[in-house]
Amino acid sequence: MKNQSYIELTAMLEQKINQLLSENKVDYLIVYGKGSFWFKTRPLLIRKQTEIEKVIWNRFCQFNLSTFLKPGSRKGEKIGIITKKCDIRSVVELIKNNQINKDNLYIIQVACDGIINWQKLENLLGATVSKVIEVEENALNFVIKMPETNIEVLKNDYLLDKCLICDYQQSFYADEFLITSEEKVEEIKNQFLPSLEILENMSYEERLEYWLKHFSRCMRCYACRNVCPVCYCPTCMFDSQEGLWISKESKTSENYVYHLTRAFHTATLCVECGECERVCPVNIPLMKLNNKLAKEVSEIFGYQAGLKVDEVSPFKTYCQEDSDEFK
Amino acid sequence: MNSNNPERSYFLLKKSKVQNLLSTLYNEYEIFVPVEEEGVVDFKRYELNSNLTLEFTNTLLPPKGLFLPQQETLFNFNYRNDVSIKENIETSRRIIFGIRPCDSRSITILDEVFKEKNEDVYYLRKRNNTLLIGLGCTNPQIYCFCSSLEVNPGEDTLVDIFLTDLGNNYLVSLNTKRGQQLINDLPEYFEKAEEEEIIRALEIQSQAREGFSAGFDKKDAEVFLDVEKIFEHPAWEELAETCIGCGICTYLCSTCHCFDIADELTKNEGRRFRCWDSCQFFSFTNMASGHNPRPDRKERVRQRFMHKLNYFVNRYGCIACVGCGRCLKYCPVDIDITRVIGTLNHE
Repeated sequence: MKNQSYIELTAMLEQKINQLLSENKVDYLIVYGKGSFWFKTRPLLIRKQTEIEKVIWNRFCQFNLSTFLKPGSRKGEKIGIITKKCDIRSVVELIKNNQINKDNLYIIQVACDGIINWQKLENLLGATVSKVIEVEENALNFVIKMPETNIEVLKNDYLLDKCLICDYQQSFYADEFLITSEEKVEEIKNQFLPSLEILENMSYEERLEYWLKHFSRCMRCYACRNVCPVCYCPTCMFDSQEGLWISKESKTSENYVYHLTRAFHTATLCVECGECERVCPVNIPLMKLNNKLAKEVSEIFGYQAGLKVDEVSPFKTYCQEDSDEFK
Repeated sequence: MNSNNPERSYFLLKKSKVQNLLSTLYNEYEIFVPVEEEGVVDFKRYELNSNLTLEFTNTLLPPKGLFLPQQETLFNFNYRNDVSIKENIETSRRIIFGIRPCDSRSITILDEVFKEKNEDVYYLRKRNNTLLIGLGCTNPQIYCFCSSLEVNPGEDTLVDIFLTDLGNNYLVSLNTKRGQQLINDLPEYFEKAEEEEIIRALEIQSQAREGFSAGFDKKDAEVFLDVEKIFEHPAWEELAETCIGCGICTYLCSTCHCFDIADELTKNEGRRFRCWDSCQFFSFTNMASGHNPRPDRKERVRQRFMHKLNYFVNRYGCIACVGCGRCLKYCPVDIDITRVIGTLNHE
């Protein structure tokens, strides 16, 4: 999509939000707002029509807003939410697990053909990243505009990983799908996520070393847990005052327990939206854990999270035919 | 320029000699240098094969952790047979090489906290044993707003020795006797700086502020001193709606210094440790009775700003923020202290 399409889509979005608020269809909407910098957006809750001008839709809308549908974060009954195709899968998980009632939800899906991975651009440009004025695009490339020069990079290299395997089509669960008439949603890019093979081919000792090295950097800020739309326990076991499961010190051994517990606890719920890895300040490759668990769940139970609201999670069913590796 | 500042002496350190200088100092000091690992630059203990990087904007973690480690054993004890306590107080001589002006300012802010009334021996022992070698900024990050807080990114008089990047060399300015002593002891690494180089460095120092644009007007921060006016401002509720309550802003903050203390016990022995804690966590103020005076995100979000811009100012006379921009850069939901200050003034 061209920059122009995003401006048009933002206008369509404003119109839709205006309608929902004026007709009292929702108490409030969870939207993307303008961020502190031109390349940032932020989640925003709006209740009044006068706030609509704050709404934005562009290639920097990376946040998965469905995390604000968790019971602890909800601020009203009837909620409108802006979603990308990928985010709807975590909305489906919340509905499926009785965390929110679909009848109280109005889901607006906005056409999207990928979100820019700003971190990758920062890594590419180093200190000069502060000189970038804007990012435009042509069919294949992003054009990074700077005062004296333009740099073109291949789009696929600078999108979030999940965008490479997204089909961008309308979701069955979207109440509304906003798309400009001229733009056709692109075909699936037919790429695969960075392979897990390297990790899978490691020996047990090598894998342990790999993860211990990464977990040693964790400072247990809990951003990965708090941003996760399916980490919806009212009190997390790691915050429990009754039992001290791990020490408050962020030692490697304790971090290891935290991360493995988190990963196993979200298996079958995780829709691989990548938010945990994106917000991690110390670059722990959390999606490698999540992707691996999703792959295992898919291979063993033929189940993928976030596709249908009436499908039952494999951890909540009993089936004689399930494989039993412990026999 | 020397005539304006007769006591100030300047030297020149060739960049190509930095590694050798560090390996010489390595025999006598524990040295902490910026090291890049997995795309993250942080101060790490210098080893002879360290992947030292001096072409960095700033470290991910502020250097506060070198004085107030994220976790630290205070003492070990035996509480069964012969009751005894063994303190764990750092004594080695240390150098931090490459600390930025915002971060050295944050250390002087923390000094106020840890030397007030009951001196914190764990912090102060490390602090007094550490020589700071600062490095001026010429390439600010887009998130930097140190100029709003009276930090000069180009010049730093709070460190013992300060380096200004001149391309192939650093101009070395000395601020303390300790710094002077170190240079005197190692004449083979430091050349006398020529007039021309000094003038060029002073120019770089005075121009450094120019690249910094983000920030706020210092006068605007004064609104926080009026508790009546802002304590129940609707902005807190709005911020709390999207704050996810993680600890990034406090853990990455160069001045946040709250910690928790706990004991870890085995059969006969135990140890008391302290570790970073965050006012953004529910458990931070949760009491044994079950009562929590800051039960919701609103109170916790407000606390962080009020502490920096009001409580700290009243107690220590300065804002507990140095404009390093780490919270701006890493906040998952783009909560921005400069914008919050603006909102409370104008809305």
